[in-house]
Amino acid sequence: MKWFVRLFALLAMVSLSVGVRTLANASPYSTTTEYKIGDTLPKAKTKAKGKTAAPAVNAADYRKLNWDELLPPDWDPMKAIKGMDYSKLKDSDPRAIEALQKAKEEWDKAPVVEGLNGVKVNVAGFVVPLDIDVDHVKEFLIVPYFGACIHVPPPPSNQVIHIIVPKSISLAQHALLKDAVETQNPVEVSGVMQTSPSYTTMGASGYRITADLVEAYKAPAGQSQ
Amino acid sequence: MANAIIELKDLVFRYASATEPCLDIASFRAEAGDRVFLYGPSGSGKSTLLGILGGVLAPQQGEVTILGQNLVTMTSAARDRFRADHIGFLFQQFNLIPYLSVFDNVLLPCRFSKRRMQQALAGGATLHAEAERLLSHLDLGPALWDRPVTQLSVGQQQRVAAARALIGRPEIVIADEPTSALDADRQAAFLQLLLRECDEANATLLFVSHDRRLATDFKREINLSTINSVSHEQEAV
Amino acid sequence: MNHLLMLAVRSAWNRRLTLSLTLIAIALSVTMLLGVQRVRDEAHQGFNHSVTGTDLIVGARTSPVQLMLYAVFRIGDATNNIRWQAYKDISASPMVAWTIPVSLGDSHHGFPVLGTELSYFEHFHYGDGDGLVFREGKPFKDTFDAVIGSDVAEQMGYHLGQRIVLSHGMGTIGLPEHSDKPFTVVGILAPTGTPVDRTVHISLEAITAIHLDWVGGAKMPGFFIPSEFVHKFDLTPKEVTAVLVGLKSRVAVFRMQRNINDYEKEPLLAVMPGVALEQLWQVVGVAEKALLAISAMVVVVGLSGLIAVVLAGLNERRRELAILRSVGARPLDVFLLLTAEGLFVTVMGVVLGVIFLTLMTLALGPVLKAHYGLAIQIKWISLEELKLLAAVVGVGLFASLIPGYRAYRLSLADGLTPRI
Repeated sequence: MKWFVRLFALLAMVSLSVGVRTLANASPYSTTTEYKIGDTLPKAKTKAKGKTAAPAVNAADYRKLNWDELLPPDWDPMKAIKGMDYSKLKDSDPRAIEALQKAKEEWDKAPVVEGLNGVKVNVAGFVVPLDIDVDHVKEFLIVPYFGACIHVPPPPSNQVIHIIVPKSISLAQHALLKDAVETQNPVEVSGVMQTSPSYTTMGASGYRITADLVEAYKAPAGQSQ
Repeated sequence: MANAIIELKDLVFRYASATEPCLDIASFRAEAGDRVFLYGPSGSGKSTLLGILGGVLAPQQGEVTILGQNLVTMTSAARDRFRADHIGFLFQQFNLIPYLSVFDNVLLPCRFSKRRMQQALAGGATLHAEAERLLSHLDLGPALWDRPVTQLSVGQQQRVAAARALIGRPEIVIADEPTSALDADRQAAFLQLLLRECDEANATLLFVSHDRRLATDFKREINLSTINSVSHEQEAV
Repeated sequence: MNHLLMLAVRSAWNRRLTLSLTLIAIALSVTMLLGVQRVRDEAHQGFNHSVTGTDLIVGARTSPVQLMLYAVFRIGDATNNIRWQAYKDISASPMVAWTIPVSLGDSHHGFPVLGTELSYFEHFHYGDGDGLVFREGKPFKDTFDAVIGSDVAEQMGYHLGQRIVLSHGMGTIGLPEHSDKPFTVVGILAPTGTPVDRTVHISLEAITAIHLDWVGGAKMPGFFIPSEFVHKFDLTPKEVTAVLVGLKSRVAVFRMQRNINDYEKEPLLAVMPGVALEQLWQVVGVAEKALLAISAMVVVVGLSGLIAVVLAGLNERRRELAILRSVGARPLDVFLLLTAEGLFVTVMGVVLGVIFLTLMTLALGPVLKAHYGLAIQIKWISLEELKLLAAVVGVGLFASLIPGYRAYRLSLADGLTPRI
């Protein structure tokens, strides 16, 4: 007659494990990859083959975006320096300094690709929190590499996307985001890309996405970290 | 020949921790409506026999047929059900559960046996009314019905226990020294009440006692140490 | 099964005197478990909500967490101030949409005094993006005007027109006072649930004014400038404690942060509030987990007490169990009965614990609010808390198996005739 003892013990264990999981705040990430500062994520193949997380929003509908697609093709801040012939310069030549200064200014301009405005995109990267709350993240920045806050140099403005998280996304996604912030794991964000009006007003340009779906980052098939 | 209510054949029982069996009964028989006085002093194997009849113990050998069913072949759960359905027990003392009311104590068997409950309701009344009827018959007036059981005298408690043993008309009533804790003058009165109620319910009564003086009201008197070939009888007190 | 439950309940009630002590132990441990979590969540929320929409906080070069704690939460001390020129240079950057300079250092009856500009009332946001709203009055205009937060008004009983005197330094007693330059309350802010409620706001010019005749933290003896004459002096501040910065585009934050950290004229630190807060929680998280583990242990201790009591009482109940066997109970029923008793007391303990929690919140809530700024509210059990309670019941069930099994074995051995 010991079967009932085992049955109750099993019930008790199940109940217990629910509680312990809550206490331990089990991470939605099944494996935690160790990232080093400056690590980027492997480039995704442009053929979108995303796995569905929520039935309403299908990640497969969104175009997988690589970070270099955010850079206008004609923008090259290193232009000024590239053309230089260092052998012809003397030490501390003002032209060298001026070229460096020009490169810096060009880097600051960080124009956006207007063609991406209104496009449904899916982009993967690391999370830098802007506004957080107890169990959800309200706004954050997504960046191409790990440790962007302490990385020198920091990413230019066109390699940073401002993500707004609507309250309406599922609890699981909110929890995932919170976890990604705490453990510094990468996420994938799907949403409609917006580029701010003009980049000529220096400093006002930037990419923005209101997230439709947030998922844990999945390495593309056949590629390892 | 009347149907045998209880029939034991070649019964041998040994406790797991013992080397020798403590019960060896070649044959025992009780018919419907029998009044059996079982004389069983300490050491005669009385507790073991009651355990077997109640279905809590299973003998290593032999047959235990009650109401035509062989208890030995039943699972222990089936035996417990059988006991609930067909047998009412009465102990020497501390018969009642202290945290239940008088009525809840009386109605206990009905909670464990649907059959007993249905039979108790057969009179057309509620369970409560049936309990009241039994208690009145056993000389327990309404004044006592709401008293906490711990406040009843021993005699009153025994009578409540008797009502519990009888509710739902079980076929068998087994009383294990029910009068031994009572005063001498109450013993006879209690016995009379019990006998009368068993008659009315047409139940077979198995009355175990070491007090032979009570045996006069019984048709059959059996000495357990006689039928039990391995009894270690001590001198009766 | 319900007859067993009825028996279990009646049985437990019968022994309520002995059981009630363990019941209270379990209840209090549940209160503690939930209470600790609630206070933690409330503290987290209070901090997280204190600043929203601010891209950078700039101050002297200290640790990011320290700067956050001081500039936003008014906790701790600033090590250094930054020069006014730095503030102007930051504000001039084309990436900047707005700036709010703040100065701290004075207090009023334990409430911190914040010197700032009118941009504060326009650009400061908190919580879900709410701006500051005036319950009464308006922002400061004259030099010695003050705007107070709702807690200051409530605890001190201030109304518009109230004259207040500020003290130099932070603390509650023994501080030197700027008694020669009293302020008038011209505005009271609506409650925000943030440190704003506890703050007395004055203009930066006022900060300069009250320190005109002070040097190094003390009033200069024999040197006195009456409040009417302060305008004869240049009241432009020379230093501020910190600057809150809002950018036109949030993606520019890294660039701006770099520029500020590289500022040549003095050592500055630019901190992203979200990042700094996250760092704070990492540091605190270890202690929080430890506290939670301890609370869980206390629950286990409470349940052990229950099991010990039930086990101890088993022996005298063997007669009772034999009676139950005699009316047809199986050994399984005996097991279920005892397990149900333990489970029943556990569940009662959990319920009682929640009631205690509510009572304690009612009783201690105002105290926590006044002294620590923590607003613990009475609310329904959340899903997370329900999971915790389920775990407690789970452990209780698991533990109750022990007396249940013991009773089962006893009943098997005793049968109908226990040897008492």
